[in-house]
Amino acid sequence: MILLFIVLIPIIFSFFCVLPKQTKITQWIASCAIMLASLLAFTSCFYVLSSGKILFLSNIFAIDLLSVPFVLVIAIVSLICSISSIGYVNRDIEINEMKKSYVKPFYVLLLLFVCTMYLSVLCQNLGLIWVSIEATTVISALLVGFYRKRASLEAAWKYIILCTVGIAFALVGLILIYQAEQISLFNGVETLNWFKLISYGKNLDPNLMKISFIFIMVGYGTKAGIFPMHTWLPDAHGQSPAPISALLSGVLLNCAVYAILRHHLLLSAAVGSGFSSNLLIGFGALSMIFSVPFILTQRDIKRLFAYSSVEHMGIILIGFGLGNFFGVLGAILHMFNHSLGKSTLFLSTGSIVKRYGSNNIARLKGIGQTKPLTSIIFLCVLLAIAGSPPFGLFLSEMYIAYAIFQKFGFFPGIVYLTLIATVFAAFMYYLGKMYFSNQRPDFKFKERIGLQHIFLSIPIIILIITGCFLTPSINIISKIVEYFMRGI
Amino acid sequence: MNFLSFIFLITSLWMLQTRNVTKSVYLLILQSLSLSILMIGIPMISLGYDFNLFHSAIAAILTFFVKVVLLPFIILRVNKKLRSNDLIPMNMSQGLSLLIGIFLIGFSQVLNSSGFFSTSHLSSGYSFFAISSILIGCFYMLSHRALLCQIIGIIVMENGIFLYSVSLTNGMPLIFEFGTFFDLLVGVLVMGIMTNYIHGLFESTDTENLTELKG
Repeated sequence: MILLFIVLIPIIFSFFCVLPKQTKITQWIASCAIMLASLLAFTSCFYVLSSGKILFLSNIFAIDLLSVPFVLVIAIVSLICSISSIGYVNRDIEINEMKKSYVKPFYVLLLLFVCTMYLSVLCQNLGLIWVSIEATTVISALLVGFYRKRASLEAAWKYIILCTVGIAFALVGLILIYQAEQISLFNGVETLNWFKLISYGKNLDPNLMKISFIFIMVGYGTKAGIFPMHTWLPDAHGQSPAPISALLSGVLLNCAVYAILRHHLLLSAAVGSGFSSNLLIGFGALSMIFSVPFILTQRDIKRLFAYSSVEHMGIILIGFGLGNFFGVLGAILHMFNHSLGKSTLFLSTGSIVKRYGSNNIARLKGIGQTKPLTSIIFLCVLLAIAGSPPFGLFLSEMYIAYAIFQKFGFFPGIVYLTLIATVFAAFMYYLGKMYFSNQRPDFKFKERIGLQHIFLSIPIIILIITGCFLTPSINIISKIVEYFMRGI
Repeated sequence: MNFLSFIFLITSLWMLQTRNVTKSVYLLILQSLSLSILMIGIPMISLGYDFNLFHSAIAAILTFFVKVVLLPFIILRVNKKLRSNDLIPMNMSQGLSLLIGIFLIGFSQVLNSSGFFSTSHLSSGYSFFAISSILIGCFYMLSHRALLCQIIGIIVMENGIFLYSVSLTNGMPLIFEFGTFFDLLVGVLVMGIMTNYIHGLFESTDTENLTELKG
């Protein structure tokens, strides 16, 4: 029942959000709902990690070791975003960027968005995963265009059209999987249930499964922001309110990666891991390579981080595609670390950008003097996302580098490291421009410590812990990696 | 069934040379109506005694209710609210658009009858019509520049995918069908709302206005 409540709580509380007259109460109702859902999510993850069992609820919901990191990411990031959104929305109301009457719809949509993201990683039916991911698009499109400005509406329109068309291709992939299930199961009940499908994976028609994976990769790849289907991503991330950008980049992309991984495991059971692994590595490498020029020439700070998400999704896919211990370990850790880091980065950037009234990097001068507390958080997470030690992303990138050297040898490993180093250098250049420059004279401002600063520091602490103290020998991590590797 | 499939295909092809939203929606209604009958007809013919009337009837009723009644109603209502009687701006002439549509149908036929498709269980009696509709739906979105046409294009594509699913598998699991219809309904509703907002700001529904974000 616990799994059902994780999904139901945000839906039920979204009704309560409409009732109060004061916006403050609405904000706290939404935050409490997300807190409650996160608490239940932590509990169920703890149960699965400690017992090693799969938690089922009828034929619809299930949480296994593969879902655990994804559920944890949703729980942590949604909690941080909901708390931070309070200050953010209040500031938007103050500067007339958001009307007071928009607060209720914002939080209702936020809760529904979180609910659909939980659904997409808790459903065990491949069809329902598709439905949930499509639902995330529909709901988040309204959030992307929430400011109702020309640019935000353009971004929202591109987002909903591209992702709906993209995910329609994934639907074709699902039809082919269902066809394969029908052919192989003459008298059985076909359901698209992942656990049933994987148990008779070898009986599934190999040709159909391979073709279906291509459609799945294109479909969910669009949603995951993988090159060349990533075109919606910089627009949507750049134009949405900061808490939504944080959720899109930190969580939503992972939900699509999760769907791809489920299909990767299924295909591996049917025809072996070679075909899907090569596709994952190929798309991952393309995403890394083609995001670099955009990162190097970027002027808009939010678009810069959006392209960085494309690069990081590429790294994660390469890690999973490699399929060896360090590759999978690196990919899981990288997914977790990137989500925490990128969401905090978007939240802190949102606060800075609001103060300067511009997304242009050249105009964000002296951020250290203008917003001393927020900019320290910004500095830390920017270093983390760039892949600097002692943060977790450095370690996970190095694990994947080690796995590439192990599997493909010297040259691909060097190319990978060069790409990472280039992005690191670009980030340091931008950081220098923003942080170590003089403040504009009209920007005298004192920043007081608030609840959001405390909440935004939590991911930094977690990133330092994952960077310094997480080793492959830790039982829970090796359990998840081995669970994944057993499937491929 | 062949006659219905023919109507299914001709309506999508005819849309390519239409420059009026209302006309396109009427063609969409006709296409969706033929799809809803095909949803029950194809399994009935191919399954014989194993035919599950309950499953197919629900899928057909859902198709009728959502795609013949609700979605066209939403699009027509948005169109009425926009008070736009202008011709739909196009990226090419109507003739060329129709010609490319015919080429896409030919391409679907070649694809469907190829050895690879038949040996890989990718084709069936009606899959040619479905693949054509998917491709034409995609092309319709590219050739017509109005926001509402992009919504219509997506529905034409989805119609093609639904015909493909029923021709290949005789219908997907019911829970999944419910989910997809719900998503499509809410999706079109959201797109309709956005079309309204965009028209309010840009005073036009031409997609060429949406080119501010680059790089």
